[in-house]
Amino acid sequence: MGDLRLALRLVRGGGRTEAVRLTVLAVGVALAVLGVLVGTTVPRVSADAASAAAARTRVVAGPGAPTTSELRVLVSDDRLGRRPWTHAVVTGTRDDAPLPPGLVRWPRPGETIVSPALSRALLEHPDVSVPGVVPEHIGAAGLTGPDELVSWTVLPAGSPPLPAEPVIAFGGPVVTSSTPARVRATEITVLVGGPAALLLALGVRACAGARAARTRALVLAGMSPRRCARVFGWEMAAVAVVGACAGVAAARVVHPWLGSCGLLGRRWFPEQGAVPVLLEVLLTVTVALVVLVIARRTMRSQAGGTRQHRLPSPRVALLGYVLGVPAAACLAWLCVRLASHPGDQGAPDSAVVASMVASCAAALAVVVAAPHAVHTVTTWLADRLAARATRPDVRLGLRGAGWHAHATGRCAALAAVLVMTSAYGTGLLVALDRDAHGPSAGIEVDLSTTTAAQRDALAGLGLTVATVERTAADTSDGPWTGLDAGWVTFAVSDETAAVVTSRIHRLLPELALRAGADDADLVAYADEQTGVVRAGLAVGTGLVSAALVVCLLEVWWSRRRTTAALGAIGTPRRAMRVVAVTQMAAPVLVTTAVGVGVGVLGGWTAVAYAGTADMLDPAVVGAAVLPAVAAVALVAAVAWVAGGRPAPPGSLADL
Amino acid sequence: MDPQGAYALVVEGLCVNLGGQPVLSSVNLTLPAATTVAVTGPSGAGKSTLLNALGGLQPAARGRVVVAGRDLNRLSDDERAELRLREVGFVLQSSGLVPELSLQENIALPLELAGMRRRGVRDRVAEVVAQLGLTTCARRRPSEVSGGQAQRAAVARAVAARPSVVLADEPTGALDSTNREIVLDLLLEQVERCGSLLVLVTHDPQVAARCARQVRIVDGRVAAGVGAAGG
Repeated sequence: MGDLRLALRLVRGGGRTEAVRLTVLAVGVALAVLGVLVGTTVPRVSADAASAAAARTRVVAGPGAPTTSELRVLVSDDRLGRRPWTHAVVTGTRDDAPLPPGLVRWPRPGETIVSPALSRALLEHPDVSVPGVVPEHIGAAGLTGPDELVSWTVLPAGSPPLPAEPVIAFGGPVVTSSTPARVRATEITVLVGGPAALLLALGVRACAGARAARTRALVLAGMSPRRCARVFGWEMAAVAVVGACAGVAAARVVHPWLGSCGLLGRRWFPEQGAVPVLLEVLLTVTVALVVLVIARRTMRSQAGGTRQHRLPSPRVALLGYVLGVPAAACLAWLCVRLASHPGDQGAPDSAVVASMVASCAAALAVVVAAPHAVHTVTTWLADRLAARATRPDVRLGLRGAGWHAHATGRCAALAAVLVMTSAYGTGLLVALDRDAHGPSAGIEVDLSTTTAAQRDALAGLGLTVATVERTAADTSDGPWTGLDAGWVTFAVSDETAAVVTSRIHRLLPELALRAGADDADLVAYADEQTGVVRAGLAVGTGLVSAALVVCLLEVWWSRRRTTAALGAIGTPRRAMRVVAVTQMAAPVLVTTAVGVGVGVLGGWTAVAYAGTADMLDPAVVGAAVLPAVAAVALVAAVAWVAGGRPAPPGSLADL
Repeated sequence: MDPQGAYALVVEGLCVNLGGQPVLSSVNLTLPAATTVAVTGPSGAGKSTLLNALGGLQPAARGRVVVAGRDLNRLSDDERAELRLREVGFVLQSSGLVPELSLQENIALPLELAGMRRRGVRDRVAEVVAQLGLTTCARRRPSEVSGGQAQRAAVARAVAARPSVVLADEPTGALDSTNREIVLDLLLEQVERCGSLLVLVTHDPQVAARCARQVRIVDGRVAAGVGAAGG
């Protein structure tokens, strides 16, 4: 009989428990595939947005070059509240004038065509006026996303040509992402790839554990461990293909929904960031192969091994302690140093890199050392309780946690990683937000593009001048209206910026303003990073949570023997529940407490990247405590339910 | 007083179904305290199911089981567990010890769960450990001792609380002949000391012969005229 045929026969012959475990694996694979596809969405969306921005780039005739085009475009970087608004003013829109993407025609003189998002935003800001808005919107081809605020205003007939070169076409080279590919790849690997691989490995392991009796029977019947591994590998690979296809299908449904709800910090059109079919096929095949390899390795060691119970190895744990203790100390030292730093300087790059490395090392250390730590701590506590001869249920729970330390330790480690990831990721998001959206810069006007009459008109608006930036050659201290070079900045708040810019545009439509962020590149970088980190955090958290659930199920299933034995001697249900809760929740409680401490320190050092003054942000503490409480509550609830269920009738035969 | 209270175990018209199929049909037994009963019969006859039903681990489809004067049908799950804890001891083919605990802790567990005082637990555990010859391995876990030692620990745990009824399912089935004799001797000696009723399921005629009475189960019924005890 062929390996595949035998695998299918065994799957068909498996009982309800086996069907549940296979379903858990298929769901795990689906989640992993979905996670990878969602986690890589933001860079794909950014690339498509960059293409859209490039498509509307103006191609101008060179100075003095002959051209028949009279189309002139002046673009201001305005903002509405804290949202950037690309405000284009146009003259010379003859019938043969080139059209930017997203427009089917130029507005008539004195009219404005706006993006759908700007149209909605203007309804919420009746004090902001835009001349002659027509009920026609800029199409998706002319926008980088559904949230983008863009307007094209054609000045009234008879207006003088704008002070800009004639535009002969639209479309330019695509500006690649501002985030280095290496950084993006690292982020996606750490936040998405790692948890996905972890989930797959744990799912396969749980299935292998369920087949321990079957494997022993097959080996006794004369099947070699290698062939057992092959059969199991086919079984798992078949389930992985089903799960991966489900994941791909789910991603197709989730992608437009995520784009419309803005859960990842930005919105996109359904067609933006779509996954190529080739990538979907490649991912499905890769996942099936990864599962095949993991399954074969897991089963080979199980089929060739002995039934003896194994406790966590102290030598492996030592590596975790050696890695984790200095990492935690490094984070604490960095935190103290940065918090006591005078002024509001951002942390140096070396400190940020050190905090990232220390956080990763601490997470790795928790994963490596958790089983041994759980075994040591719970056994010690149980011995202390035994000396006092109190609470046999709690003592038995602690003994169980120590005895099954591989499984309970994995649960505990995953919960701690969840907490640390949440805290550090939140720190990064806070830093990115502070970096990109600092105090508003006001409205800047390039004086070299203005005439004396325009400057007088500006002065007549009665705006508060924040700064005047004179050129190096200009040493006079006269009023800014007398300058024909340098910059003047008018002070405005987020609330009044749009009103003031609309007043200036109405008065001086031919004047280009800059009311956006200080550094547009920085904002683009921060926006993309925010998207990547949020997507990675959401996906990573989801995958680690799923892995935690798989581990919990494994612990639950591994308690069957104990539950049957306790039931046989008449252990009260309440005591059974206490045993289960202690066994499953106590290790999680201990490691999440460590996770909260290390995660908060890491998160604060991440916040320091944007400035050390307010680096001890309470949002980081909340982001650590909330998942810690949720994880402990989830585990305790599962344990309470599991503990209250009696062993199934006939389970004494398993003892 | 309930006239059945004089008996350690009363079974009336017991029917048990597994997976929709009848496994036991109209079983009647009336067993006094301080005696030993062997339940024999071919594989699949329903011997282990009967034992589980007597211990309240397997619900009856019809009929009733009265243990130490208490009708299991009238008890909740928690009350049945309480009854098992105080009045019933189980010995299974493969010890059925809690793998996480040492032999000593396994023996102490039912006593502690029943709320016995610390000194009482310590004394009683020391007593049965000595009686069953487990002193040298009492601190080891079940996976660290031989099958015979684990089975002796299972006997010790079953009798530690001096229950009214001890239910043993093939307690010597997985042991060699030497250990089989040792464990059986100890089991019989202990139930005699405690004055308990022992219901012992076995295939082995030699083991069955050591019991005072025998009940033969065939196709889920008590076979008549084969030395059936009581009713």
